Amino acid sequence: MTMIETDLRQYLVNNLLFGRSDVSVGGDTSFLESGLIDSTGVLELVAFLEEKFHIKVEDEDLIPANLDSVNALIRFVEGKTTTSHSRR
Amino acid sequence: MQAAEEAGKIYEHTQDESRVECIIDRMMGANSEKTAVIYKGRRWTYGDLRVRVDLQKARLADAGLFEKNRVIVWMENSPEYVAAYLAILELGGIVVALHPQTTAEEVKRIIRHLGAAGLIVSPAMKQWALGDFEPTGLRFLFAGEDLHRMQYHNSGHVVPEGVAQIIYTSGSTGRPKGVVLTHRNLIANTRSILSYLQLTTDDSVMAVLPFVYAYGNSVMLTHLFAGGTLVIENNMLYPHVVLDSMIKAGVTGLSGVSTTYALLLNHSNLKSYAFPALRYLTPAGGPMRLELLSRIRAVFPDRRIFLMYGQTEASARLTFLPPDLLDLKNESAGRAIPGVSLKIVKEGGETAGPDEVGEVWACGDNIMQGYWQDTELTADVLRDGWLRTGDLGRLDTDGYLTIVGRNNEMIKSGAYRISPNEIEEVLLQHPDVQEAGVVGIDDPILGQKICAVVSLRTTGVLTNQDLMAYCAQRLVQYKRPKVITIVPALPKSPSGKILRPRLREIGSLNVPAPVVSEQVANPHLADIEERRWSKLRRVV
Repeated sequence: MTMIETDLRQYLVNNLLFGRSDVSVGGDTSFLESGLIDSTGVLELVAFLEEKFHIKVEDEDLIPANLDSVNALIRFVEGKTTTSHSRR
Repeated sequence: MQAAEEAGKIYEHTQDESRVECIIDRMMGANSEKTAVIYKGRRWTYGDLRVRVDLQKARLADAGLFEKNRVIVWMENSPEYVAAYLAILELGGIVVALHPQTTAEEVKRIIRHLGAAGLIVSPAMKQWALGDFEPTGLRFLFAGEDLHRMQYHNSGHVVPEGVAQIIYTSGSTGRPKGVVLTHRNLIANTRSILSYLQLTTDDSVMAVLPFVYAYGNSVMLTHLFAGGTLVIENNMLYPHVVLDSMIKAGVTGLSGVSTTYALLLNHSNLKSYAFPALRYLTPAGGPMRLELLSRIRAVFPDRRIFLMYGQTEASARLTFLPPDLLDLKNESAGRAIPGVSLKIVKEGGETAGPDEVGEVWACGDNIMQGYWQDTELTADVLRDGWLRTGDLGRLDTDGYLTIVGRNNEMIKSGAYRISPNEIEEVLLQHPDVQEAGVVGIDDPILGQKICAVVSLRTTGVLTNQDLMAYCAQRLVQYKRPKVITIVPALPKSPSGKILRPRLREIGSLNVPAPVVSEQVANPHLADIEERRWSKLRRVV
């Protein structure tokens, strides 16, 4: 498990599963369809991503393909951090 | 916009059509090639819908659906939902739709409360098992297309004539209330809305509100009555997805609650989009801040904006403010819709004069028959043919209503009305919880968010995260507190009554109030809140 995935899963346990580390969430499980997240939950998740990974989440990034599962988040964060590094 | 109005046809519905499904069947016959529903990129014509309704009807008849049977539809907005709704009505049954996030426990409770005969579950629902429903007395359960026959228990309830639908809403006692609506109620309300929105066969609406509740239900019925198109998008969490659907489908209408518009304004590049087909917007479903309304008007300066006010008990709608009066009556919820009368009643029961504040009462053919199996509560709100809305307001000399407050503690969060008592009861069932108070606090997106303040029997045994997890297992997502603050004791008056305004202060600040000790809240939660607010500030 990469550091990004570890951090994302920790956030998931703390904030969407409320500490229930016994509940397993698959990499492609949709947060929306499984009822794990609502509209304010998405905004909280965005705030976490920006702070934790030092990335900027634009409004147009707010789409399920970027944010709706653990694997989608990993791809999104990796993409953002790569872009960010290549710009330096 | 104008071309669409000229090309579209406004159907005149005759008074002899006394059942909802008969009116829609006529539209299905007259518009068989026209698109009724767009869902996940697929178009369903009215002809397709007719075929789907017939199929669903055959299945339900085979399963044993009889007149006046209550059938629960536990589904997300979809063409299958519309087909199930119409099939039940065509067989003489009564539709009881439940939000897709409803927990299995709540569904069981409602089955027993209703004496339901059937349950139709969407394949998307994962939070249940067949065993959950075997002892509930259902005759049948459809999981998608799979029929499961069960041991029916006849509840023996006497069902009034003409009932079409029962909509469950959060009750002030904490128990769910089933609002009983007849075909006459729904038809009266739908025709009245059509008379001022002037929907035609060329109209199409972005349907983001759940059909299971009164507002979403009225959006569905008005467009089916008009022969229009429902463009379904269940993904309001991601505003760009909704905007892309709007553009692609060329919708002419957007019906939403304050949260819908706040999300679009705050979290999308709304201004960069063009909506050439958009003709009207209908903000409703709760109070809308003037600041939010002015931002909507700034983005859509030349579109018709109909502010509306209503209640589930009125089949949805009681008043509307015509677009050309937005400036002149800028604090008003509008005048009574056709067929509805309003009056303001003062505390002593006397009818108020112009501009005097009192409780808003309404009467008309759209007013419910009462609450399912609850004569006491029904008698409390229905008086001599009038509905007591529970809202405080005043009527001006022109008959325009201004809502000045709510005389109950109901929380309005997103598209939902939620009883604090219902959440308090769940919290109080936890063995370590001593006291619980729940309030709504202002939120720029949700309107109000749910805040719980709790004291424990023994300090240190529970964290607010434990209580969040506890609520997550027992409450549908939109009823779960967003903030739980643990305090040594709840603020109370000398007579022992919980001081809700103080609870709001505690929740708003999310920091210890004077009565609060070090054990308050998970600081991480406060961090999240602060980060969320800073994000909002940045975007706004």
